Amino acid sequence: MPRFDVPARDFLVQRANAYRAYWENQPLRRPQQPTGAGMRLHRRLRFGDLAEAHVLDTRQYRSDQACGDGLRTGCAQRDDPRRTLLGAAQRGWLLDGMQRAGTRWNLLAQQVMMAECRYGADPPLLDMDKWDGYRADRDRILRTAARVPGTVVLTGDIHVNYAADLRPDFARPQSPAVAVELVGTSISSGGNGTDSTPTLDQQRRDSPHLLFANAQRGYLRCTLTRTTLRADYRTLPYINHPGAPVTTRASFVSHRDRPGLNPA
Amino acid sequence: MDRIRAHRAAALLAVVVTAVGGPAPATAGPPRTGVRLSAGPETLPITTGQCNGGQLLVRLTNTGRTPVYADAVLTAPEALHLPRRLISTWLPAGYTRTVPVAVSAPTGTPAGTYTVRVASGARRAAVPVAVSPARPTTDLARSAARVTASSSRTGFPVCGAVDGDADPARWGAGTGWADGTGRQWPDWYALTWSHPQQLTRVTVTTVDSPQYPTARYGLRDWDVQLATHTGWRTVAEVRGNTARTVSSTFARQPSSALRLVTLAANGVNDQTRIVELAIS
Repeated sequence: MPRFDVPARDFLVQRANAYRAYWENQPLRRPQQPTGAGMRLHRRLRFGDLAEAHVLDTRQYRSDQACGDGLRTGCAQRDDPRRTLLGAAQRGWLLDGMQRAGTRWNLLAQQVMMAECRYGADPPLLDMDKWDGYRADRDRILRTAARVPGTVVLTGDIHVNYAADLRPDFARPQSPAVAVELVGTSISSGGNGTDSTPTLDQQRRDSPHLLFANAQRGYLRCTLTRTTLRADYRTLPYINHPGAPVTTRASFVSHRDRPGLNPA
Repeated sequence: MDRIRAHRAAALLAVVVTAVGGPAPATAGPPRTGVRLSAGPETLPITTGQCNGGQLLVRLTNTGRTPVYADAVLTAPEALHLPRRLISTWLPAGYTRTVPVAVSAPTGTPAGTYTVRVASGARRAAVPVAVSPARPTTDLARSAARVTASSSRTGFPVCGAVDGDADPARWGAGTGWADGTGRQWPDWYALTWSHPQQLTRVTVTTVDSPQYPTARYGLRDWDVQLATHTGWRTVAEVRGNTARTVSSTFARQPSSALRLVTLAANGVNDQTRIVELAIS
């Protein structure tokens, strides 16, 4: 849905100029230099034979949000296999890269929550901006993850900490997880925050695959060995004045060959 | 670090060269630019004063068959104030980008014609700016030499509060001011005159529309202060306001600057929102 009353041709020039300003003012590398309204941001970072990080761009190539954007129930359009979050080229690059990496782990660093995230349970109220609005692409990735052990999704965007098991069908909580997702909170957006909120509490009750949710500020510390992932959710009680003690609010471990988060 | 800077400088240079020369010709010969430049209007009339400026338009057209990045540089006599002097844009083939550039002349600028020149590669354009004295006004808010504020939110410039438009319905269309620091108080808005003025009254119009009702978004508490030899002195206080328009009257006295220090708003209490100020 267009949010601004600007002709597409003019919008693309605006976008080209924005990309150029972004590239010139942020610490981006030469291969990311934009040409017009396109800017290749997805790339890979390799850490020996331990991990390959696939940095994704979930904004630039996506189909328009399903069913008119925002929170929707009963939206059939989100299942349309012609709709895409990554774009066909980047999706092919990712699926191919996950299978060819040959590393113990594949890390998918990306912008929007991949696990199902309900904002109302019955019927499910889902956010069309997230992977929930692009099920075909999510299914392809999770099917690949089911064959390639060691998939970890690292996510930002929503100023909230979540820890989630990823399974091809979130409605079947007994089915095995094929990957795990760690959603990191914001540094300062949202102010001091709280350990939880009524929305987060409800989401936990509605979603067995959500193992942790927290609305404070902080960061995520991860340790990878050849067989295990450990994630420590580091949180601060306040950020509006100096001196806050940082503590580990929760820790989880997932085994590479038996994905699924367990309290550490 | 130095290497990164050098890289970036080289990259910028490459962009400029592309813009100036267009796609390099395969054979030797004079570089042929694919960019056409024009600027308007034929003459831009403005009156002196920070908030009495006008707008000129720079148009860049890609007449070639391939897209380019194009740059234009503006130069102007010191008397004129231009918030930007560089235009840089992507131009698809055949595309024209029209860029508005604000121009103003500070209070006290001698009347006359001042020329803004625009260059893009070898192309040149010029706009004569005819500056005349500001029309006399009895509203001292509109004759201030400088208006400044603690901050401004994008789209809510300081000049919006002294533009003569006190209609709250248009507050969001650039005719009002809002500070840019949500939930941080106090904020301030100041007016400075070239010579001391005899001041006795300030009238504040805050928001009052279906979208921004006064009870939820209007300004609630503020101090009116005048500049004195020993600093700012509070001459009036408003507390608990729920009205669209409030006048504060104080003993008439000379001062060369007046400021509002805003302390709180109603309802969401996040920002200072002023549609218009009038001072006598």
